[in-house]
Amino acid sequence: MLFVLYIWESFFSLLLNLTFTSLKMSWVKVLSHNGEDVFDECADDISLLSREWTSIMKKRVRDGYVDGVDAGEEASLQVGFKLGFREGAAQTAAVGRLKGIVSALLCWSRIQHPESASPASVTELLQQIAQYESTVLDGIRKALENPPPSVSSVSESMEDLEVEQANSSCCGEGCKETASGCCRGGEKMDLDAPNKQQKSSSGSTGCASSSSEGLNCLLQRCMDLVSELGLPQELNDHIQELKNLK
Amino acid sequence: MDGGSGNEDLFDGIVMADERFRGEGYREGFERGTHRGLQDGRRHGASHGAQLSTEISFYYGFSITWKCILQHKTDMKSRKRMKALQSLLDMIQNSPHDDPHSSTLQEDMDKLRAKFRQVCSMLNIPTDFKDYVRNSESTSF
Amino acid sequence: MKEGLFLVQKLSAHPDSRCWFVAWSPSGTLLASCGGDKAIRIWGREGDSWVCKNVLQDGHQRTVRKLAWSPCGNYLASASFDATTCIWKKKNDDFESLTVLEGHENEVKCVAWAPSGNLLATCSRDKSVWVWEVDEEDEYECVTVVNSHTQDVKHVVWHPSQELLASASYDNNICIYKEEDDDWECRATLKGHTSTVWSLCFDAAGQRIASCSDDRTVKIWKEYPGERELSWKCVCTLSGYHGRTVYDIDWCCLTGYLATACGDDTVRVFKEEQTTDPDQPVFSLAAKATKAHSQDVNCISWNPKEAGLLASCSDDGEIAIWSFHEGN
Repeated sequence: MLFVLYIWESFFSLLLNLTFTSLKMSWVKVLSHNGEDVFDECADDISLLSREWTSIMKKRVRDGYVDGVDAGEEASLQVGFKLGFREGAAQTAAVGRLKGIVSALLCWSRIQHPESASPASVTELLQQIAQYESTVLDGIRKALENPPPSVSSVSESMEDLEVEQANSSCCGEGCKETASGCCRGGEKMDLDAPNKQQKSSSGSTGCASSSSEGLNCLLQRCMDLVSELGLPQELNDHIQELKNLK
Repeated sequence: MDGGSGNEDLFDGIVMADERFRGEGYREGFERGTHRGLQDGRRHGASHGAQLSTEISFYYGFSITWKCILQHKTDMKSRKRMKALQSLLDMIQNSPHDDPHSSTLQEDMDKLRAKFRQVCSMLNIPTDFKDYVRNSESTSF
Repeated sequence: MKEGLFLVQKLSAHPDSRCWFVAWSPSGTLLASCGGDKAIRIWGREGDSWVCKNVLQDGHQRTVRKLAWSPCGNYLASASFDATTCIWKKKNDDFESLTVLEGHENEVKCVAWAPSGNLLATCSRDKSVWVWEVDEEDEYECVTVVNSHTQDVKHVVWHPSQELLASASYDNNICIYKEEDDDWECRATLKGHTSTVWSLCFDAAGQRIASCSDDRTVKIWKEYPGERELSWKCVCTLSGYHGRTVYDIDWCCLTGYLATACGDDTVRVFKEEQTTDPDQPVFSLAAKATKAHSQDVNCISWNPKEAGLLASCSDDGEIAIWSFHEGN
């Protein structure tokens, strides 16, 4: 009985895809008048049609898929951008401020002592901060240039799709069930992916723990420098603040 | 008449099956597209956000430091400088730099950069320093 | 007397170079010129002719593009492609370099002194307009940097009596700035020219602006009092007169005649018809000197005290002094 249902479905879909109205009409006539007889007489045709149906349905699903990808992308791109914008901004806020602070110290010391060379302690620290900052920025840039494989190119996704479609057609019956099962599988993958990506992106910006240690170390050296130069304690409060900014 | 309505049902079945297959593909594609868009957007957003924050944070750190250095000076010149520094800090704190879709972001950034240049001029910051700043702060949006 | 432009004298001002700009001192007794030879020359009258009184050298490393006299006539500001603006102080019959204003990223294109003499504006290829404040001790401090243009800013000019600044740019627009809460802001953008706006000037009352452009037209803009925003509208376009880029324009504050400097080597004088609707002024060509120079005419300037006395300068390195006579 299930088989019959399957065949029937296949006929209907095929008919629709042929989109020849007159042909459709005649087939419908045959079906409604002769009933099951059709299957006996045209068994070979049916298996042929079944295969055609599979490929046409694949195309149907694929067309829907492509449109869906476009629509999904369009709907989420801005949300993602906004989210990433904040994340990226948070990653460079502390080191950016620190660079501003030490640059100001450098300018100040140059103006205070125009004749002598800038103190090495300041220039070195500034260099290291600049280096730290470019490491952070490079990490973000690398993540942009080499996106994680889970979301690479359309063609790859299309191949995935083929596999999934093959599975669902193998399952045969109850396409709705199978398909929604696929969707659920997809959902699960989607949920996993951000975690994966986060891991890989934080990995590429350098080891997270040592990185924050690195910044803390730079902050401490900056505070030492402020005391050394005899500048107001208030400035160190601002530097201290950066620890919480991370 | 009965046969006629039966045909209609069959047609409905055909149409529905087709729509269903398309719809299934669409739903699946939408899921994946959403995920991809989210991730792509997130990476691009992170890049832009980091770049912009680098620049703005630099201005903030720079200004706050000069403010600390000049805070107890009472001469006219220092007071004018303090005023310009405070106005730069206010600009940073009062404009929403965390919203990439803000219609005034570009304008705000232009004003901020202009103010920073004014502050540098007032502080007699030499040109080579500004070259250094410019090279590392060449954010275009 | 016959109507027309009559050549009084030609001066080889910046030989083997370009003469970019000429500026009359407020008293009208001195004419300053600058050019590609990095030099500034001061010209004065001796008997019937104009002679070089001073040469200001070593102030700039590159072309001196424009000059501005302070309203008191004791200071001269020079804008140079070396990214600096030099302030020169007149001492007896000599000039000494007082200070150098730095800050622009690249070529400074123009400098202008506000009518009060307390403010100075500069503009640059770096797209910004700067306003500097001058204190009693001759110290200059930048009070604002405005980035309202998207391209090279070619010219800045102050309103004749108010603290209102106008700028012209390669982005085809004109911006008008006013001070607000200690900061200068662009309060109006005048759009209409279809190519670079090279120069602009106010009329004597400051109610209208004349602008000239690479689009070969001259436009007259009129101020319409608005609520808060400044509102300027183009009320007249002079087209069909100029064969090439119009590089400079000057509105005589004594006679109301408009003079233009054009890339077709011609100097033109336009007269405003008297009996017209103020919202639809009509200008007609009163005189022209074709082949006024052998190359592009870069600048044109009416003497502020002597009606009809006109100076022009050119890529050929020369200054021409003209006498304009109106017909009866």
